Amino acid sequence: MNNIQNFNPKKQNKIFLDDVFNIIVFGKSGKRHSPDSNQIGQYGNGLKSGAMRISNDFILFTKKDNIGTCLFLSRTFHQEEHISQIICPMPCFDLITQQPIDNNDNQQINGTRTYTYDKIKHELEMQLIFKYSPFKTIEDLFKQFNLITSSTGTLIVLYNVKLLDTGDAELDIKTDPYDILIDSKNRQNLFDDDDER
Amino acid sequence: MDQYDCLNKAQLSFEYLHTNSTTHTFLFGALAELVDNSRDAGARNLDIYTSKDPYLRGGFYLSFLDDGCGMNYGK
Repeated sequence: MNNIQNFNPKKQNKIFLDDVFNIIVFGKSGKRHSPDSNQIGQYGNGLKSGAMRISNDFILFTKKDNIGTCLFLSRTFHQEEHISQIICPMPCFDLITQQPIDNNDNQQINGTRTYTYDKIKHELEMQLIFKYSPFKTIEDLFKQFNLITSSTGTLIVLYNVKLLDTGDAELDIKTDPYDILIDSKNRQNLFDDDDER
Repeated sequence: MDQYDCLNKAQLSFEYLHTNSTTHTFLFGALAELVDNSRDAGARNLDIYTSKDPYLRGGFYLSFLDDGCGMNYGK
């Protein structure tokens, strides 16, 4: 809907990476430790606090070195199955062969591609994703990975968005087909915002 | 650290996911967190779009698609 061209305002000498695994370590960020950092993120909390403010659930797809990694964080799943700890399926795939990769084996990720992944763990992860995400088959899942047409990139899908008391979605996508609005009745929030991180 | 294995460790409870999200009273501030992440990943393009899905609460999902550096699994 909104395509922001030439998005990156400053030329960055180095991009300091975070791993997918760090996302689920609350408060851990690889960005902070860089001396000449001009990164916005520092605290390792933005994705979780932001996504969970917008919706109940999200699924993240990220691509690098032709390896695709998913991260699935669903409150619907936790609520329906009465789970008190936070469980995050993170299946990993070779995007060329579409084979699952054991995401605990660095040797494979670095090219040894022998595919001795933990089948039970992988199948349990996929079962949860198909049950609780909008993507119900492996084909659906790879369609999302394929939306990342650049050699590297990340796609985040937020769903089961928060509703207003009226039952409408808090994000108004109906009024203007080319924009995402906040319901005008709540427009006052724009002026008495007291956000903090 | 091994010497402390027998001691209690703090954990994150499921409820904390909601608690943590309440730092954003302003909804667009929450969206901005995700835009910040794409910018930090060196993305030159970021598509923010919605897709209809009647089975979901609200009737749609919201996507952020960037061409940033991507991530490995890690650990």
